[in-house]
Amino acid sequence: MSAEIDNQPTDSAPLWRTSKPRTFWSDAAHSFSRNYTGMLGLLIFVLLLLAAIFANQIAPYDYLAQDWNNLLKPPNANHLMGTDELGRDVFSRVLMGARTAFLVALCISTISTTIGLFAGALSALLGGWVDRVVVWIMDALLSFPSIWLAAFVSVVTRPTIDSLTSGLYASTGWAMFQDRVIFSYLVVIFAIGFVAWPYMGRLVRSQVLSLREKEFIEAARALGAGTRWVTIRHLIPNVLGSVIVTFTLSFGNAMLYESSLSFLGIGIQPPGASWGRMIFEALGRLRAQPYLIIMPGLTLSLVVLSLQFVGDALNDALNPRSHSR
Amino acid sequence: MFRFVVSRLAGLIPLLLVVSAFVFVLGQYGAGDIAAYLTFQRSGGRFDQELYDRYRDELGLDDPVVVRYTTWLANALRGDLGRSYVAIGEPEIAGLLVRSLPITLQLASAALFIVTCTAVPIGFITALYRNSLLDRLLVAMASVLSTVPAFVLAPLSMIVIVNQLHLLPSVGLGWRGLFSQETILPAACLAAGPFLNLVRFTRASVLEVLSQDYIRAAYARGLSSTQVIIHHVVRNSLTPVITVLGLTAGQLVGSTLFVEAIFNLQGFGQVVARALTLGDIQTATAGALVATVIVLLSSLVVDVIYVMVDPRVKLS
Repeated sequence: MSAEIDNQPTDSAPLWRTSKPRTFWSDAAHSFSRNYTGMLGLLIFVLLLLAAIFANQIAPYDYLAQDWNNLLKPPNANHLMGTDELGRDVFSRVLMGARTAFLVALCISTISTTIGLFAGALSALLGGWVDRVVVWIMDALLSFPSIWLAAFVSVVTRPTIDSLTSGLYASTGWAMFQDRVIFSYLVVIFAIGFVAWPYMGRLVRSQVLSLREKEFIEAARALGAGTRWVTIRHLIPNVLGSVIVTFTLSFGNAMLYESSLSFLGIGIQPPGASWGRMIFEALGRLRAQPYLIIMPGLTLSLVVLSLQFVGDALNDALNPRSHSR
Repeated sequence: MFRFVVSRLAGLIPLLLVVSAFVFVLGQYGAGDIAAYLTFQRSGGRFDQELYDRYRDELGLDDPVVVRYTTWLANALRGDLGRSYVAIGEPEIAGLLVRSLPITLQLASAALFIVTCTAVPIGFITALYRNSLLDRLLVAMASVLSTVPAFVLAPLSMIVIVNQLHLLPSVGLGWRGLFSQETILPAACLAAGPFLNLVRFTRASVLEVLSQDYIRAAYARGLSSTQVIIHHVVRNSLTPVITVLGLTAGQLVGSTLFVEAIFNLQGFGQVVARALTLGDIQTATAGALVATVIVLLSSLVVDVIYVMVDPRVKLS
């Protein structure tokens, strides 16, 4: 009760009161909702995500069904995005490709964020030889052109993961481990996750290192706060903003890398649907049937662009100080 | 200066050793029994003991991994990267790379030239007119250009620019030299990737300089904005941009995998892309190593240029 009286507006202050106190997160949400490109990106992303989740319900045809009477038909009323050289409906395939892209990207960015968080935080907090080793590994991984490394890893680990899944199939008898499409998912997730985590790791390490030296942490420690309190109350909330931004951007990158590998023929294997693979298969028909490239290509670009907009808006909202530059 | 370059080169050696050992071991163990894999591929799924023994012997698979790695490294330093067993005629990998690298290096320098000549002025304009409609439009355009992946942008630009508008001659006939019209489109597609980063960095750098006290002092002395920008802003804001140019090298080399395949240029990227598709681990390993060397060397070159341009950086 007394707190409310203390908060009563005095002299010239405006006579309105918010029912809730302003927090960092409510400010960030307010700032984000005012950012039109960010909201547009979020809208596009959510729509495509819903399309991916409900792909089975939305798709007018089976994405593998071949219609030999309708080969290479340009977009029309029956086939919104036309049909490919086997008479498969491109719209249904783009929808299933969205499902692949979102699923793989979610797995990759979750895995790489988790590894990066732990590696970065441990390296910064423990210091010493742990720090040196982790920094060495991250530097070595980052000195490659990352798409090359992902492609290389996906090629060389294929046989190993193959023997692993066949071993799992032999011991469990689950058909899942014999599925070639799931196998190629695993290869892609491993290869890209392997390449992606140092970006998060480096960010978290540098953030924790710089936060540790800040006066408010020192003040908390001087007041007798333990490591757990400092970590939960000060480190995590302060790092979280950058982590969310990087997670958003890594989600888009993971999608890009998945389709890049599939484009090179070393990612998602047929009959799995992937935008990259669709574009690769249509390259020879560039002149006659450009829509075969345009449809999956534009969808992919749209998702990545929307995530870029969301990431930028989140960055403005969650790291207000970096914005002033 | 000479000592600086030498010490930086020496600093790269341990990193290169780690990277090459990593790539080599990954290539050797990840793939399982390479000799068996190659034998099955070569003899159409049949197991040919003689061929298998030959592969085991040539690849040194009976030696421990340390011996294999040192042999490989010693040979690589002498310019012998082994053979590609998957490609037709089992060519020497070093020969493949020597033929293809010049094309890629020329293409990448053309792309670097294009992106520098476009992104830096645009970044400058966006900073000078910050938060205006022009600024937003240019940054949005750069975002679109850079987020569309190279393997979508290249075919789309071919459809629009070559097939619909007939602005450039048809492409895909191979490498026609650095100064031919056929090079413009692939180089531009390659340049699109780092475009946004460069625009943003230039913008931030110019804004940073504009907020400095010496700029205010220059205005206070009565200089016009044109004079201030030419004499104070340009040089001070563009020096840091050089560092970003070094980082774009990796991105450019990475995109050659797609752009060269689409435009049918027989460069380094296409050699490695084909090796990856065919599961040719020997060539892919060599390619990864060479790509890393290119990236590390370009970052070294950038550091040297930076030291030469910015007198405040001390050589230590």
